[in-house]
Amino acid sequence: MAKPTMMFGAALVAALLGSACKKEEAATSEPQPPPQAQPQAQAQPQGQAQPETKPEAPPPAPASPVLGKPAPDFTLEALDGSKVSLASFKGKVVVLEWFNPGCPYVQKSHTKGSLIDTARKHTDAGVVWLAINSGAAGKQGHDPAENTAAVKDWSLGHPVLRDVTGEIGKAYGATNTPNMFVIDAAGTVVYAGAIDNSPDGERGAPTGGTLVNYIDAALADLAAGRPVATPLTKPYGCGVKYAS
Amino acid sequence: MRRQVRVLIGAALAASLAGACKRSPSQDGGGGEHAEGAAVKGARVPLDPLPSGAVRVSGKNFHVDAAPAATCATAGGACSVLADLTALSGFKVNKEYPYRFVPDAASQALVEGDAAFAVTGTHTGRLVVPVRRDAPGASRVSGTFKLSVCNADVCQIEDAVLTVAMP
Repeated sequence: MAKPTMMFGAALVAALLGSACKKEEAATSEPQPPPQAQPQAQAQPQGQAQPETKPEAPPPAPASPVLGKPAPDFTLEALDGSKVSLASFKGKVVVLEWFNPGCPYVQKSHTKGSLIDTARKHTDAGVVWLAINSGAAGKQGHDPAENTAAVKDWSLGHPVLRDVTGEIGKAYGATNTPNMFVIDAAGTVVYAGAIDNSPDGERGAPTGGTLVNYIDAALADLAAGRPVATPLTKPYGCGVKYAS
Repeated sequence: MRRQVRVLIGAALAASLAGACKRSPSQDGGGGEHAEGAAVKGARVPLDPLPSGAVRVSGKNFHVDAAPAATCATAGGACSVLADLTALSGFKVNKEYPYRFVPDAASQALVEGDAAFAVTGTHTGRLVVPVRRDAPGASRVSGTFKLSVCNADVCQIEDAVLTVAMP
């Protein structure tokens, strides 16, 4: 009689802990690579390297707290001291770019990658483009002078806004630099994720072999009156340097 | 007494499973900053030590040792250049960076297809560049190993220029 009771108890404990384990792994703050990106070094006969198959599908994207919802409003200070409010762009399409000039992925994206000319191309067509730096004081890329230098060096024509408390970054669920959001003319967030599918930041290693600029694609969909076909992707780059 | 034994066994089982549960997330050796979304190439690579005479390229918080695989000296065997990345000073291999090898123009005919990369430890990874054995004038493979290492605060994206003499 004792054995079945024990076995049932053990099974119950194992099931409960197994479930708890899964939840803990999912909730870990460390981003985990997608399954197909998990390399496993395996012993092979000497010299028998087996080149892998390139992943065809983009990595799974985490959920976004704002996608499909009204864009959280904000008023932030630009590098020149002026105040910029999202509400002032009501009726316009707005792109938000999480920014950190000290992040090598941001540097690559603005000098070799998809951020070189994407902003100017779309702002010329009437889209509003705002870069937001949520780096806390003392963290990489926070220094206003460094941001001002980057604006000059990379010939940015749009403002860089300072979110020193990180409140706005967290409201949007911005995790990386760069991390992109597109807000439609009705004020709804219709895209959240990466700038493109080349996680080296320099358009040199697109997943599946063909480069896709997700912002170009989302804005083309909006211009054509279509729903955004790819509304959510997994951003890559540096972690946003929040205070905590 | 019997009930106490049952409780003890149950508690031991629970503690054991909880321990296993806690260990699993940290075993990846991740830690620190990651480049999300990148596709590290899932690869099977030979884990044998590099042959003697490897060339070392040193950079900030990393070095790369590169050499032709031992099989390159054997007729009929597969030939490749092996490049071992070691992250230094508390930095770790960025598991999500799309590591690759960009051959110089002079080496393009020698390199056969894409290089493969595998993380071999928290601080180490190996790049395998497949090399043609029958290319005329094959004497050395040179190009750029594009790599990334991170610590808890920052990531670096680096280019290591490699030149490896072939047997």
